[in-house]
Amino acid sequence: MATRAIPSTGEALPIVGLGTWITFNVGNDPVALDNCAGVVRAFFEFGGRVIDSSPMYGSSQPTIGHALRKIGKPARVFAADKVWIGSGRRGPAQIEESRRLWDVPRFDLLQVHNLLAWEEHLPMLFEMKAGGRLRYVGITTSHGRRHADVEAIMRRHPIDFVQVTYNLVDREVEQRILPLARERGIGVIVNRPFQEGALLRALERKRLPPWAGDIESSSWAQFALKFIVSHPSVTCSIPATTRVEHVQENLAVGRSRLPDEATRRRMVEYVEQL
Amino acid sequence: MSEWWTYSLHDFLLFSPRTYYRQIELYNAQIWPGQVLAWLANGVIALLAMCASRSRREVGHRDVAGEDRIGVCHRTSGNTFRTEWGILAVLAAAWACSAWGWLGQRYTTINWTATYMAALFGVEAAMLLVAAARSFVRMRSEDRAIVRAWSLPPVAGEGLGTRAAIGGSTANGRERHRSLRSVRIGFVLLIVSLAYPAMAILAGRPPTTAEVFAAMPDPTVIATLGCVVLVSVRTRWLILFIPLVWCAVGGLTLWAMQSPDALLLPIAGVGAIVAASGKCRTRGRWAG
Repeated sequence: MATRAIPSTGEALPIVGLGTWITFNVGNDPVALDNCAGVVRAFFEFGGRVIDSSPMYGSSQPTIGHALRKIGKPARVFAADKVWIGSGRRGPAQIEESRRLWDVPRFDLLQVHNLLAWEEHLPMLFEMKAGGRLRYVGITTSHGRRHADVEAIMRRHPIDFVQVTYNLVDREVEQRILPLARERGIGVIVNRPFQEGALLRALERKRLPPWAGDIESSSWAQFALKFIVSHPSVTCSIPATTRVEHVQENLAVGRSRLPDEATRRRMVEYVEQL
Repeated sequence: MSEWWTYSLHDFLLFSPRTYYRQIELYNAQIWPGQVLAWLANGVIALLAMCASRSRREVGHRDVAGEDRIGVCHRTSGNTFRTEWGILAVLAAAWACSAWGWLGQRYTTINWTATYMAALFGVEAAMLLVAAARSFVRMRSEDRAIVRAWSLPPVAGEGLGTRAAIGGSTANGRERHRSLRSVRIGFVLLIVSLAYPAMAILAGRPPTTAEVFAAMPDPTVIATLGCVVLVSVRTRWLILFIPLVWCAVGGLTLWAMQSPDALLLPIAGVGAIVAASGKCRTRGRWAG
């Protein structure tokens, strides 16, 4: 499995992780819970590490906890979660509740979700990191929102990660945020690699380009994911899924050829003209 | 929420349609066969509400004869109060069941806002209960007025109308009669609430995802709209407020899930507003 180094520490992370927005919010449905456990099992078996969640994602956190317990709590999990509450004073309690739901000793990465009350939460997260209760600090946004604020925080604060939306059609971050991340030594986690499925639904009626085999892409999902993780500033992408075969397909991206810069441009041009 | 204009309806959907209907399936399995009793209760209050609306029209219809008029009015009026408080009490119980059973226990596991929805449903249940209590009191007051009126010794030249006036009660006041359009809308709403369990099949979902009055919010709301439109509730618009809010919120949720029946709730809400806003014909009972 191909890895990228986290800029602030050099720790290697697999380039494909697992998101849990919508897919892991299954409530107390025992069938769905076990299905998610199967997804997580396959995820680790095929070389994954990063699992990303948030208190905003309904019951995704307890679903992760259920899955990790069921497969024996693999030590290699890179637990990435978020603080999502308007009151800085209530942040620590929410984080502790999230940790309890995950059933992990501590989080590897905590991010301020969609910059909500970031002025209060960031100092608290840095304090947790200094105290050894956290390894990395980050911020998140999505759908291309608040990029100016994200940029300002990246410039002024020693965050380890930034999570943004980036894919074949949403490429605004290429202009400033990805170069800035590289310049400042900030890791990049990419969300919405498939626009929550909308991108793949739009592409599935179209043919893959004849040269897709050159980059060992046998599906649009692999084609789209390879575009993302081949950017030199991207550390990891976190596609979400409920299907084991999709986990396998996604993680196969990390074990096959990635496009170079010229091919990446070609990929964008091909999709734009579809 | 900054850059609010960049958000679409879908951005607020926290779960997949599959997960939503799977929760309904599990909930239905948990409360079975309670849905049968609930549906029967829906049928009973629908029938009572329809009869109550017809009774009022009959009062107006007969309000041309002489001596018969007061007797009929009292009996009919007493009957409508007798059914109204029962209808409102059943509706209160239905809202409480939906709040606790579905919103508070099931829906909240996939949607954190369901806790607040459950609280609103609790408020609605309380308002319906208060309305039921007031209707009951009015019914008892009406009964006592009848007894008083008929127990007085006759006075020369006094007509039945005067006797009723001496007896006095609020129910001896002016009757308000719903317009035909309002009554028809109310009837349709009640029929829709009874047929709502079939919507699952019509929408291409398994019958195990059928939604029934008192168990699930949508048919409970529609039944409430129909009943409140047909019966006499003094705080009508107060009681209609939360159901109308649900018509909007529930409809938007179903729309975001691309459900074929997404428009049913909003249409029901609009229909209720039209029916409740309909002009009423007003006649005094002993005029002339």
